Amino acid sequence: MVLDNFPTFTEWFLPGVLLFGGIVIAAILLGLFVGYVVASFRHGPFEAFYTVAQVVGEAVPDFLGTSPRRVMAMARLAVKEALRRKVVIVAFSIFAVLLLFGQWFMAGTENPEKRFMNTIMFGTQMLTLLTVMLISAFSLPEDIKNRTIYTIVTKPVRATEIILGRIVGFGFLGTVLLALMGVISFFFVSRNLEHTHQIVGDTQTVASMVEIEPGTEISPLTGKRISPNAVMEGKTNLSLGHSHRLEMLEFKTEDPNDPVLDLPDVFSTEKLDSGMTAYRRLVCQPVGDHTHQITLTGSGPDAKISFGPAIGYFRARIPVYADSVTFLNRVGEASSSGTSVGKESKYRGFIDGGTTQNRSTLSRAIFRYSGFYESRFRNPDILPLEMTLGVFRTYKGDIQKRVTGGLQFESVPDNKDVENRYISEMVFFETNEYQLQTEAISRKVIGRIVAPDGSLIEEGEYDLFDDFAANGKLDMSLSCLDRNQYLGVARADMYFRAFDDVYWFNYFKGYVGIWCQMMTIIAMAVAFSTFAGTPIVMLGVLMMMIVGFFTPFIRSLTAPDRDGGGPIESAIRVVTQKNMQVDLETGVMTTLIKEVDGFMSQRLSDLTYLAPNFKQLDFSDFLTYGYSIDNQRIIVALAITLAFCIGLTLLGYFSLKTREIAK
Amino acid sequence: MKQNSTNPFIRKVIYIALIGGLLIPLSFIARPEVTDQDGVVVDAGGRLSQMRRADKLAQASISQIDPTSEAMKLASLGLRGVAVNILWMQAMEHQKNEDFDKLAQTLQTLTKVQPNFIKVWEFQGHNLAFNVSMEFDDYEYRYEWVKKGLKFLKGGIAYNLDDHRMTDNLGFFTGTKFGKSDERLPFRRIFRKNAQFHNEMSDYIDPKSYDAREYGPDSYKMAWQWYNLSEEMVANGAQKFKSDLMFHQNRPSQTRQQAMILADEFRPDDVIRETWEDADGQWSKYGNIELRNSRNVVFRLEDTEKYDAEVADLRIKLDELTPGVREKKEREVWKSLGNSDEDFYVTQESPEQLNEVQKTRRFGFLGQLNSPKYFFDKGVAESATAENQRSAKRIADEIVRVLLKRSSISKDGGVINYSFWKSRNEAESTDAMIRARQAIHDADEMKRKSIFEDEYVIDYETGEKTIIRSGAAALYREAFAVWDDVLQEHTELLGSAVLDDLVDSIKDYRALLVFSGKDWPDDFSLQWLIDKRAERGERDDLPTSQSIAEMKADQEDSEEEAADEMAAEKKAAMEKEAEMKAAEEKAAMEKEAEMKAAEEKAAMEKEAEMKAAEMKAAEMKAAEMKAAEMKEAEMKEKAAAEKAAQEEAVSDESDE
Repeated sequence: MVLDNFPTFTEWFLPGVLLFGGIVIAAILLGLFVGYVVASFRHGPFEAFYTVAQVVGEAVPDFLGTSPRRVMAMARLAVKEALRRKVVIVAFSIFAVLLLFGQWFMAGTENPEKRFMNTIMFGTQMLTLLTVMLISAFSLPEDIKNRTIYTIVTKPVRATEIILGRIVGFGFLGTVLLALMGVISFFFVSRNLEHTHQIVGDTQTVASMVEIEPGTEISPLTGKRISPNAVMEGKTNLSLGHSHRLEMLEFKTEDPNDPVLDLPDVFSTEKLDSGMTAYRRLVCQPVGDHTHQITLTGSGPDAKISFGPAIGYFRARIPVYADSVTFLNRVGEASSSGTSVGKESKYRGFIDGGTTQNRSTLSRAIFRYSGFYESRFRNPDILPLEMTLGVFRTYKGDIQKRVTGGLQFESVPDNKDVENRYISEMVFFETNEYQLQTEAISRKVIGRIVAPDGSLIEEGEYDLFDDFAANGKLDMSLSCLDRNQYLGVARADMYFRAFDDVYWFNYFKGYVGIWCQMMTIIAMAVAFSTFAGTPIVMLGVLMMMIVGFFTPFIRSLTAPDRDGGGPIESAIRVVTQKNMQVDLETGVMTTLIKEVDGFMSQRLSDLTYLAPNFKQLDFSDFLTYGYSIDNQRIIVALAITLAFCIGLTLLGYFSLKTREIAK
Repeated sequence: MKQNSTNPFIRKVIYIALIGGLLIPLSFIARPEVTDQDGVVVDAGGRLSQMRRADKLAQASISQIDPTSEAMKLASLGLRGVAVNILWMQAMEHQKNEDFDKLAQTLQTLTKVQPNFIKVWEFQGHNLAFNVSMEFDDYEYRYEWVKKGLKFLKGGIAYNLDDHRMTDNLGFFTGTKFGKSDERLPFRRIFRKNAQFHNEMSDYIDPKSYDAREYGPDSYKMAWQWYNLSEEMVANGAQKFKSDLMFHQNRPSQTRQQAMILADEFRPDDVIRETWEDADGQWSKYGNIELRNSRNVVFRLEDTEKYDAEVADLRIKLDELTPGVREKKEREVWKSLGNSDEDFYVTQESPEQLNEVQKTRRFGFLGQLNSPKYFFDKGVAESATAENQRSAKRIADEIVRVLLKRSSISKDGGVINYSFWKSRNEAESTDAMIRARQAIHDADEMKRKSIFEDEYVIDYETGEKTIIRSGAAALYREAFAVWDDVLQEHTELLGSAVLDDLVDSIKDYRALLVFSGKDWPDDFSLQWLIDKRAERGERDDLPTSQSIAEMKADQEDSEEEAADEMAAEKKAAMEKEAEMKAAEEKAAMEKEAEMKAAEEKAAMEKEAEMKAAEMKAAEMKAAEMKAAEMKEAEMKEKAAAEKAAQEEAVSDESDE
């Protein structure tokens, strides 16, 4: 999952306050000006002045005198009216059809949960947004057209209450619809992913498994790699379009009372002459991100194998990301982007594993953590380090062997010149490109203490939290250990999994994102419907939605340095059939065109900010990839929604005020 | 007033009636085709649906309509083009961001919106199987993505039932990705065990149909089955998008590839020999198919001799109508090529009796004569008498027509290397070849395990040496002896392509000798073959008898020189000794004796030194010669050494 560098609410809000204030003032001034111009046409320039002043003057008591009771009454009316339109029922039926038939096409992949989540979130989002757009776009214009609005405006109701009542009413209806869809989807997804397996063979016992010769690298059953400590293997039947490989793995432990020995999947234990205890565990190999808990009952070859439900589909990982990542090149020079291996996406930076001529490379990716305290982790004794790495080979090498990486920890003293540093031994691991792999890091690490001058003071076992990160800071460096090969990594690619959030709560947060989008759409449709007819409102809102969903793309279209230039230049190129790489003839005309284009592009770019950036309100990726949604993001999303709702209410109020009906 | 109130109502009734009226013919012309359970067309449907089917625009029959695809098309509210663009952009973005799961998902949607656009299937299927799969570092994931590409492409068949490009691509992907990529051996290993995949593909191809007996499911056999579907489609009247030559060669070449890769994977045996036999049979069958090329010439690749005979017959007939003209014209051509008239006899001689220059001239001359572009025979026909002119010209036209066929064989057949593969298929399917290949395979296997020398035990009491396992060197020698027998027995193989592999093995053997510091054996069983090939001008870069003899002569010369010099030194020392003796006659006898001993010793030492220097010089020369040979061997060893060093570096770093 591509993760942008996301600031906290305060980091996001404070620098924006000034700009936001400026925009608000500009909007007020522009509003006054437009109002004055419109009023001038209607009443003449002098009268217009008074009209505008009157409208603005009345706004203050209108807003201050808005009664929540009347707003609620209006909201109730809006709900009743919308229900009468039956749009909600239609939307709900479409949703039901989507769920009923959608499941036919979603199973049968390695990660069905991703596809399910993606489809469900997208379907819910689209249906909800279109439904609320329809009901709110029809409401006011129909009332005005049917003149039913007069039954309301003749009552002591303020224009603010008409607008707010509708927003609240439709918002309520939308919320109920969304909540229903959310709850149903949740059960739908979990029910559809529910499955279990059986071992393939004559009996449901260990006897159905096949012995493996020691030293075998390739499974005779599947032709794929097997674990080096596997002694038996087997296969499950096909369920939900996949089957798992089963491996009986042999381990040794020094502790005869190791709690591992009591796990339900332990097949046998044996005391060795060396005092160690050897034990065998039956492990279900994961497919995609899920696996099953195995329970063995009985002993020996007749031990019965039973599979538990799928584990790993519903996760809300809370990651502890590094504050920054620095890349060192071969000679140890730091950069923020690492070596480029020529990939189009610059997301990952690459580090090299040295060359044949120069074996020792200083190339590293250094992740700096701050606030690395024990209290952040549920189980601080074993820290799961999750990584998704990129691999780039300059030569193929041994195709059947993966590239090796190394991890090393180092303390970050507050004062480098006087304090000693802790440096750990390097931990080696096999990379698995693009796959989420987990390395369990024990808090007790073997390492050494080094004086500021680089001399060794002591070697031993140290604590990651108490010794290394005593000040809360820690450096973790990743290196590539295969010569002439490269490893690629980005900041979000390596994190410690602190613990998991409650899944349904995360799911709820995902729906809060859709809710924010919905409220923005409602406010927009209601505000637009105060001055335009239904078809125009729908078109306008659709336009805003399109801009909102494709904001980055549309904004990139307005970039002045785009190939082919701005609006006028591209028009000239179209007419004269000049391609985008050919420069226009230099001259006054071209300079003028470019200047005007620059100005126009900038204004067009400004216009894109009028539409809400729905990407900022969309959290479906977090649910799809199983990450917890940061509360800061939720706060930001709510703030954006609130800002749009207030702005649009104001717009709706003033435009309604200028129409005869609400006077 | 009255009019006003009734008018709209009447208008509405008229509109509805009109709409209803228009719907009747529309429903009539757009009526879909109806088929029964066996797919037999019961009702051909309306004009619109017939046209749609004729132009392969959509699923015209009710039973074939895919609800998802149709729903998606409807849901785009007529903005299908826009939706397609957005999806393509999304797909490219996902690929750029290396989010391949999402890419695959977007492609599924994309093909639902434009299911009849073949290029989408082709391009994206290729993208998944070739580009995306290569992005993954682990070959097991690569395999999975190749499979995804194939499954994706298979999904397109249902929408494009009579388009052989879909099945052709499936054949091409299956054959190439599993059989030719760098990961082919692990890929094919997993392929054999991948029952789930075979099951998934079984709706078009029965897994049993590509089972290579004890070797299990074979990817090339599967590819053959896909190409077979293409052949069947075209045979049933589907449009063909490839030239005959390329289209029909797919199937036989898959069988050949299968035999080749099986021989790489396993010890050659009867199954592999029979596969070669099968390949040979299919290739000959292909040679007997009538092919039409882009110049609209219809020919058969196997008919070379037939066409030659036809031309000869026709020319005789033409000559009967135009007596004596041919030779005159031939002389003109001969001269126009810059040859003298006296040399014309060259054209009548058999090539064996000519020298190289003459051969080249004769070749150029015949080329001109038999070129369908040169219209030589038309020139001859024009000299016919008025009453014969018409039939002479007809014969000349006929000759050009046959010559065109003849030249198509060499031109088009050359594109696919027809004759080369024909001789290879024939050679490989003999028992003798399998025996020879087995022997080489055994030697290669030992070399791969780095066991070069024999392993033996010595009984120290009896001094008896028992070989427990032959090393690669011994096995190569045995293998070459088998090849020797085979080649003596089947002399036709001498000109065939199988020798290329053999030469490679001889080179391997030589590298092995260099590596273990041994000389090229005097009694090398295939020395005659190396010599013969060298005579023919093949640059195998192997020691010929001549080069060995020269090397030996050089060695002997240098040895003789060294001996001569040594003798001269000795003589000089003796003379000096005698002089000394004479000069110091009067000195004390003891001292004299001492001196003599010292001199003698010095001379002896010098002698030894000289000898050593000579030996060294000779060795260095030999080493230089060897160095060049070793270079190639070193290159191969380098990879192994590098790997070892790499492991060492890892352990070094961990030591640090």
